[in-house]
Amino acid sequence: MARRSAPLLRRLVSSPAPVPAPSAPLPGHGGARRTVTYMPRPGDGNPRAVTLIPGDGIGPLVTGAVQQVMEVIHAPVYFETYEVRGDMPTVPPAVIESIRRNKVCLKGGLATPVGGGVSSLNMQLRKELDLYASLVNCSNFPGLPTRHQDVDIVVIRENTEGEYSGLEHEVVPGVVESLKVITKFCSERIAKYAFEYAYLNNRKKVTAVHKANIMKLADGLFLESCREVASKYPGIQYNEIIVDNCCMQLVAKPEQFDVMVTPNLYGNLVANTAAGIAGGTGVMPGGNVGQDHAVFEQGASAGNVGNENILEQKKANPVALLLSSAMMLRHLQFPSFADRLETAVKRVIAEGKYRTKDLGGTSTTQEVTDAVIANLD
Amino acid sequence: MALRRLLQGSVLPRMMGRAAAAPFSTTSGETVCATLFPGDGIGPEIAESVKQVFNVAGVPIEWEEHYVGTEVDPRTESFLTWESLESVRRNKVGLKGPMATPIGKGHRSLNLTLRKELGLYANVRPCNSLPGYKTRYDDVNLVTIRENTEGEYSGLEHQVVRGVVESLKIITRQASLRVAEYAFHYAKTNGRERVSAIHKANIMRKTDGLFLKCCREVAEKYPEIAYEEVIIDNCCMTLVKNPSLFDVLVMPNLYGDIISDLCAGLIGGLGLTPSCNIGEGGICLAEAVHGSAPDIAGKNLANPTALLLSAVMMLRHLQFNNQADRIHNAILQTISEGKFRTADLGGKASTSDFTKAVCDHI
Repeated sequence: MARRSAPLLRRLVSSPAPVPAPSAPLPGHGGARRTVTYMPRPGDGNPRAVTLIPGDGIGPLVTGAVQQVMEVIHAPVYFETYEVRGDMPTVPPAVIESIRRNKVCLKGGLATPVGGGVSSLNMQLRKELDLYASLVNCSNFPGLPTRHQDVDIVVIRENTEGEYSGLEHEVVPGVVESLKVITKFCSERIAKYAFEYAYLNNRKKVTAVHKANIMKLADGLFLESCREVASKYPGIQYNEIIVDNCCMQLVAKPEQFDVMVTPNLYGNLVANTAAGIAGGTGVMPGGNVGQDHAVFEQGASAGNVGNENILEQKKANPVALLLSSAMMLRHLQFPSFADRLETAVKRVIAEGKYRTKDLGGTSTTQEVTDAVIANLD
Repeated sequence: MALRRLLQGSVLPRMMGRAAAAPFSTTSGETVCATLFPGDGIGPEIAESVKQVFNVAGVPIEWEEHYVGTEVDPRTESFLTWESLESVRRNKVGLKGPMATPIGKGHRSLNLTLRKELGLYANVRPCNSLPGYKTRYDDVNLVTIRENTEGEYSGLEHQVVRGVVESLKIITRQASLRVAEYAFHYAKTNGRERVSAIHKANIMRKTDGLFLKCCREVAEKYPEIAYEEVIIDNCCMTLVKNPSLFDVLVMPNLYGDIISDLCAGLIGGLGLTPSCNIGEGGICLAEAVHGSAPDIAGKNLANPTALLLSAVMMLRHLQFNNQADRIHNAILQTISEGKFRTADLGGKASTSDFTKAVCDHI
């Protein structure tokens, strides 16, 4: 491959840094065209199978939107749909089989009921497939007004252990213990992933979020692993921040953060906070990735899969899942399809005519989807 | 030593047989004795501001000042002496400035000492947008109440084998009930309409589940106060998008730590946030949660707002509502006028100028 295209290819093939929309948001075609210098191998155009889990709540609505758009752009993917609901006791083995075979999955939302009884299916999926990194891209969209500007944060969160190990027991009646487990193995691999991501995406800084002043051993171990990996990437700045200060800084000066690597619980909070300041969880893409498999879904879901009102009126926001499916297309090495999808979505947001309730508008899911389809190159 | 008379049949509901907020008589005209820890760095200057403002407002408080010692007191295992702690236990009310944590071993941290010895179980931070001081959020009006003794910060960690560490999070019925009781009691006495319990019980089913159960039990006793439960990630997102949706938040230790700092960030930072710790037996220790800022110590540049607002919280606890309101309004007016603002708020006034302006407004 020509040397000049190698950096471009690297950037296009890996997970995306946010692409600014064309300077004047044009409703139709005729905006700046992206040329993709990418030389596929013969046979790369064969359709790829992707497991699709619509899920609960607004899940089916938004995955429906993705399916529609995929059809229109004739993306070389076909979906194997599986029915999974949040109140099932375990993820059906057929689904796991399918994901192991296809290696890539697109997921709507799976609700996790509060209270006793059912262990979270999201967690189960992550543990089974060892999806140890969860990634959320939080950045401002041009044309979408928010209180904070210049937000461009990627939160990389350890996904398998930490506070969400699910190991709880009642010591005596009225006293309950929950174990937070931190291992060097998991901390090291998430730190490695974070720095590798930063390296491959030309990111300048990685910040580790912790509470090691109080949890000296647990978060101390996490920090130790981060520091070790940081020393192997001298070109990338590394710093550490305590989680409560981190949240305060996110609200006051979010532009100081770039890539953030965190253990499980803090990552959840930081991702949701960062998503909130950049425009809301309805628009942030993300996914979970492991050594062999990748599951793409709405980046930060704030723990809910939509309330009944939104469901009835069909006003769920499909943007997050559309952008996540663009990430998925890049993961499958179909960069031009990914670019077209992303550009169309960003145009729709910038225009501002079709926005769902969480962005301050009144459109339905279908209207937004149609607008995206209309804006495709 | 001042005498305190407990009012009979007070307006405060019973709290498990314990007087969590001992009411003080306001009509007797007797002075109340309160402990003051000026602290380090800018502490003494801002404590001076508080004393000045209280004098002008005619608050009948007599201060008992205590300082952090220079050697470890073996009875308390820290630099805080036994006498200081006894003083707070006796007076039941105190104000604390910022304390720098001394480095080294063989002693407990100052905050840990205070918390354990005085049984401080709830940390209360009202976060209100200051009119006239523009931040990105204008309509913040909430109170965070954080359980302060257990949860994730129990300090119980150990290495299982090399490279595997376990940290215990403890939730007990007793502590959860206690903080829930205080939260609802606070809501009732301060005219708040809604209490939200923040949790992650969909993942941590038993621990946060127990916390929620206790909150629900207490909620039933206060039917006039609306109660809801919010998952922590949803809470974070809503706080940064629309903080006016929240009223009183009650949370276990870790979430409380993060959320209360997040809310402080919404209104302008720790330099403007008041805070109060409630302890067993009705102890109320108001404190400034910012650092001791050694670089501007002694230069008359510090912003006393946080300590002043915390002192106002202390006055409300003592039921000196008249003086509390007057001082609070004076502070808000001074900041909103914008003529006297300290450097951290973007102005050029000195501590004494700001204090004088507040006194003038009373």
